[in-house]
Amino acid sequence: MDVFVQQIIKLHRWAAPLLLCLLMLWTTAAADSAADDDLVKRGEYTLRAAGCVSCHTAKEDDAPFLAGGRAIESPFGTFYGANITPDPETGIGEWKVDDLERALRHGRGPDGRHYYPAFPYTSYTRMKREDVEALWAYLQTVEPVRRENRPHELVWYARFRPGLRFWNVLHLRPGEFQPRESETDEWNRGAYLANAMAHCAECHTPRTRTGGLDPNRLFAGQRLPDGEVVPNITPDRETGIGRWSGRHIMRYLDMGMDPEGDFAGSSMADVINDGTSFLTAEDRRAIAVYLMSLEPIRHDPGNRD
Amino acid sequence: MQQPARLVRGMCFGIALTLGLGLGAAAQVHAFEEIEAKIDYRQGAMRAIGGNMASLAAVIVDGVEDYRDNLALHARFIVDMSRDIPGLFPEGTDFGETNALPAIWENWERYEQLSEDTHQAAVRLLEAIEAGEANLGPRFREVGQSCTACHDDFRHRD
Repeated sequence: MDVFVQQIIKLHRWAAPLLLCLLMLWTTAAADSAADDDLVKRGEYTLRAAGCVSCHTAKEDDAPFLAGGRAIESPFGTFYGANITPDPETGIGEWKVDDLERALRHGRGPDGRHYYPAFPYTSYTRMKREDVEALWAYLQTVEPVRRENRPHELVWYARFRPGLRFWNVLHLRPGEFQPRESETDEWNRGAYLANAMAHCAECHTPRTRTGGLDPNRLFAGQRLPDGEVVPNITPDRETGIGRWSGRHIMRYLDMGMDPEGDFAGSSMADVINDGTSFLTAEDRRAIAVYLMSLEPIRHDPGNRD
Repeated sequence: MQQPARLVRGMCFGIALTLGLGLGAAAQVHAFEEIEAKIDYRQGAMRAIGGNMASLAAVIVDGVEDYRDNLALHARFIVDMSRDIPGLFPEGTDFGETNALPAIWENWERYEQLSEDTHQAAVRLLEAIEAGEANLGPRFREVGQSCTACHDDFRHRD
């Protein structure tokens, strides 16, 4: 009997630390899983904030999510959004997180190939590393779709990709967003969202002859090659949105309604439906605060003169 | 004797031709102006829908309670005006100062469907207002989304 009791005591001595170890492992695994979930959620939010869906999902009603095919018209021809689902052959299934970062920050593929700036890496280069990692984590959870990328249809002189190296020298300034200490957290958040994520300036700024953003007319609107006018969103009262309040901007980003009760259409409707309507009210307010702080620029992009 | 008669016949023919051409041109100008007026009417109606949407938003989204009693009035206008949106887009009203895209007439059935969606969304909003529902936001948003869905494919941004 004594031997039996001694064995039980021995076992008990081992069991307690063993149980403790198991408990610690389980707790760590649960915490990791929760952290992964949070990262994926943040990545999905980043995907929406960065406006990825509008270009990487085709326009048809039943188009597979993020499987590419959206046509993007430009003066150099038609670009087609790429498949960014984790399909290993036609998507980005073979990529690593660093490949995604290189694409976003430097406009280069895993094989070193230059991307065209229709993919707005000149803005995405300001994204924080943690948002890139979150976006990567989310993209791993997307349903892989086997769908070949459609080749771009460009004018002959735009087909020479190595030439983009020189374009980048002129127009790409790599580096994360640096907050301004003199501004509030809300302003910096708005600046980050508008510039690094939603890349508003890419459409709302006139281009120079070499295709870069005109630094003197940032956010002052432009007329696209198809005649569509992208409005001036600086706070100029006559040609911009100077008569809008923060409330109006927030509502526009939420549901696409302007102060006159008119609703957005065309590409901005996609930007809102696929992107900014998913933002929190705080983030939409931050964008409004930032836009209202811009220097008003008198420029009517609808004027053909 | 034959020459004056020929001259008179020629003059009569000339006068008739001039009058005919003139009347035809006048009729054409009239037709042109009528189409322009139709476009004016359409744009006015669309702005009026927008104005009513802006008023609804001030109450439903921004919470201006003073005008809550007017909600049904605004919604009813949109219900009535959206009953036949395709009727505002007759053939031939696709020129001049209009942002209506040719896609409207090329995809007429889809255009009719989207217009009907707007009307039905407005009807549901009016019903919710008349039933005294407290949270009208989702119904209002439905109307807005139906507007956007149509503008997305059928309106030029200029």
